[in-house]
Amino acid sequence: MDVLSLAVIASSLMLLAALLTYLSYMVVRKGSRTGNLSEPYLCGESVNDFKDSMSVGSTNLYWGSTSSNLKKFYSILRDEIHTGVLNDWFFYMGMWFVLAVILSFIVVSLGG
Amino acid sequence: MFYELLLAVFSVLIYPGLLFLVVVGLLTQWYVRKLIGRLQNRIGPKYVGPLGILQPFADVIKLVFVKEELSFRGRLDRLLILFMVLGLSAISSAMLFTPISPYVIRGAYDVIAFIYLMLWSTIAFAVIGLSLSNPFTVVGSSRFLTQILFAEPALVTSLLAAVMVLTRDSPIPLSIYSSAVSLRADVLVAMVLAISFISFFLATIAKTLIKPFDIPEAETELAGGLLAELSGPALGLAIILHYSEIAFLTLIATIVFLGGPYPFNYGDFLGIVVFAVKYLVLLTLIAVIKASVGRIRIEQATSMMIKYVLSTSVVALAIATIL
Repeated sequence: MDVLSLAVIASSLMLLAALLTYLSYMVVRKGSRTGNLSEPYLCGESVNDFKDSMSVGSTNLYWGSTSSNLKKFYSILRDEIHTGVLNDWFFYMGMWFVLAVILSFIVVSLGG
Repeated sequence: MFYELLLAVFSVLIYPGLLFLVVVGLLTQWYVRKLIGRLQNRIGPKYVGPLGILQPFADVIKLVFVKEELSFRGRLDRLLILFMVLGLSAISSAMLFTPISPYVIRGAYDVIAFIYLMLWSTIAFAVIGLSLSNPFTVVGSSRFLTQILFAEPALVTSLLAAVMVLTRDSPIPLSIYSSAVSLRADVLVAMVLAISFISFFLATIAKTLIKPFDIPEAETELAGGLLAELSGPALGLAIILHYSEIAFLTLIATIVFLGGPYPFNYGDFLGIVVFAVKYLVLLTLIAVIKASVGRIRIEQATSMMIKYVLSTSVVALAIATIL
């Protein structure tokens, strides 16, 4: 079996299992009791603007690694490489792209 | 063609797919709970079924049929159910790559598709926390993502190293099926397998939130973390996904790293016994670790992952590439 047909078969079987599980979950849930839709509250007070206050910014999601493990790496990235100029960002990303193209040329020319 | 299709559907839905994983996952939960109970001088599950073996099933049935599901404004109900279902079906589909399946998906480089399917349950757990709009669950999710940033690459690298070294002489390279049936007595292969197994096992513990890596669900500080807001059928589904994932990764460790029924063959009676014994030994190891260590902090967990787990798996992959 080649990789493409293998991936298609595995994914379609996965979707079939997902569909059946989702439908059976919905059937089971219909019979069970569901509580009233309640408003979120904090210390007994209702919270109205919860959409902003209850979510954490995407930059804070990896705080464990950015603040301790890879601190040095991130400080170099943030303080020295990042300038806030859009052209610099294009140059930085373009650099990696060119590197990837060169590497792929080398690999293909070596017969890989 | 029709027979083959029927066999594929049977494999993904019944054995070794969905139903098998759910049943084995819940039995795994019973075994781990019972063993930890005995290790801590408690009885453990007792009342439902002989030796309390049906207790996890009773817990899930109670959650699904009896308990109330509470909801509140701002919660993305359908999204989290969808991702849990996708996670569960992805590992069910991944079981079809192994030799225990009647319908086997195999081919050169199928390990890449296998790894892709393996990642779905991780994404599902991250989405659970993020879709509940609660500070506890979001912090739990954030900790989970931080932990998984190092655990998942270690898991993938160690699996790749083992499959690479096992299929180096095989006509179908980098295939889960070929690696599972081509174990032989070889010192170099055994060395790479031993190193990558340590890494895979520790990464499994971190990925499935078993102590000391249960930081994302820390009950005492995060009130359950990722699962804090779930109740009723949704919590039942999350528990099923969690234990099915533990069963799945332990089965993969048994099949790829410990040779499955080796020295016997798949399908032999003695082979099945040897397979079950190896699986139970791994579960015992998990239970002993869970019962004997305390929770560590997130930065300790990540630095431990980098120093001991990720580096070990990279070494194993380097040796496997040289061989």
